[in-house]
Amino acid sequence: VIVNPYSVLTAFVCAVEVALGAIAAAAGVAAFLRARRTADAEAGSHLLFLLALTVAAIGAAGLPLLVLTLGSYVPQWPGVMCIQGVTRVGEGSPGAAGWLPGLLAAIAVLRPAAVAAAGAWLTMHVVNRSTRSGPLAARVLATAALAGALAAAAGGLELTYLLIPKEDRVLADGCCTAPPSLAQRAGETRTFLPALPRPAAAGTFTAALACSGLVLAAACGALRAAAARGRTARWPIAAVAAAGVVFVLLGAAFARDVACPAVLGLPHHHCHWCLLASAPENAAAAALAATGALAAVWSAIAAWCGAGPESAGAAARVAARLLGVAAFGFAATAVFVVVQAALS
Amino acid sequence: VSSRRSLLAWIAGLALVAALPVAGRAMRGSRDARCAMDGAPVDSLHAVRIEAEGAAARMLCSVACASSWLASEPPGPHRVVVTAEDTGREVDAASAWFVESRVVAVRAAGCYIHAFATREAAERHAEEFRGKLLMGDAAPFAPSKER
Repeated sequence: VIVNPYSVLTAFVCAVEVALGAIAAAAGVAAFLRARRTADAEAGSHLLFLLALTVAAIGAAGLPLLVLTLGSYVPQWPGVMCIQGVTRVGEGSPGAAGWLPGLLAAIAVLRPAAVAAAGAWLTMHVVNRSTRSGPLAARVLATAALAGALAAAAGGLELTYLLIPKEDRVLADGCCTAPPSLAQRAGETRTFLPALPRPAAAGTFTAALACSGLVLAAACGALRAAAARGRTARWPIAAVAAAGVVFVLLGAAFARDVACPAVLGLPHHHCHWCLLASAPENAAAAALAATGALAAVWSAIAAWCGAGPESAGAAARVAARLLGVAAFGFAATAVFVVVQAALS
Repeated sequence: VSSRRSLLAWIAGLALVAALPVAGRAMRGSRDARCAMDGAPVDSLHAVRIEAEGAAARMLCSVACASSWLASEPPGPHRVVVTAEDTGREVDAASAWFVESRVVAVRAAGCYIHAFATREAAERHAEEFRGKLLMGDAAPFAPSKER
């Protein structure tokens, strides 16, 4: 077990997250079952909302904390040069150390899912609070329980990762000195660049990403204007939300295959982590893209869940606000990509 | 008034985002004299330059990095220029002599291969530091050399 200030802080935060997340999940399920039996659905659920809010805040801080902790592990192994190498520690090792890469992969999925669920809960709660009879109460409680369960699961997995001794027999090196088998495997995951016409692959990818960001921002702006007038176009908002998620995935591929080699001046170096470590402003771009996608998803949740006659007005207002945030996130990401490409 | 204020906030926000890469680049400074393969500083005594047709010349920190670079690049005509340790001058790799010895050439790259302009200097280094002269297929950059 590697003990340093980052790992101790992260372990403490994870332990709190597991405890509060589990309590929130249990309280959410109990409140949900009670809400289905009685008319006063939200009675006694104030503690649940406080818990869910606290768990959401802890979950939002969890991802940066995990990155800082993994970064602090880099000097532990002579051959590891960045976080990419740390994520490979344990590959092929027997025993618990062999679970380490799988645990990190699961955390990489669960952490954003927990944040998305917490945001969905908050969105529905805001919509529901604006109504007189609280028609969304049962859904709000169920979502709070889901958010708590996801946060507890993410925190539990992260705690397990921190506590497993990192004594692997087969140490996979960092990306800069990766053995040929691993380097080849990393190359195989580059699916986008080879599909584009050479030699302008990077330029084409940059233009495509920037244009899609601007198109998404324009779509969000148009849908926001419609929602502000009280007309929530549910299917188009859902389509924009799905496109936003694809935009984030494309952006991740862009960061690895185009931005990292160009910004670092290393044409054969494809690594997210080195890009974030050497050019930290790219973390802001990643946060903007994620904010855009999440806001679009939450606006879709507001539009779909608040479609009833009593909640439609409030849902339209919330969706309009979130679509405004999404529009800015997508547009700002596009601007960042264009300016960075012009400088590289 | 409200829409004008939100428009101004949008423009200010986008301007701030646009300034981020500019500020980041300014703070990082120039990346000249860095190895194109691993970003390590290039020591002039071990620098390797690769020139390819229609592309900018690339500086590499060591023979090991240059070999990795060529392995990663699509095949095509190129010229490799190494720095000879005995003279400190640039020599075409095709006419240079390479020795792999126990003395590290570039630690960051884990490179133990040294380049020399003359065979005598290469053999002297190999003898002094228990190295071996790399010839024929074993020599870096050129599968078969005619000397």
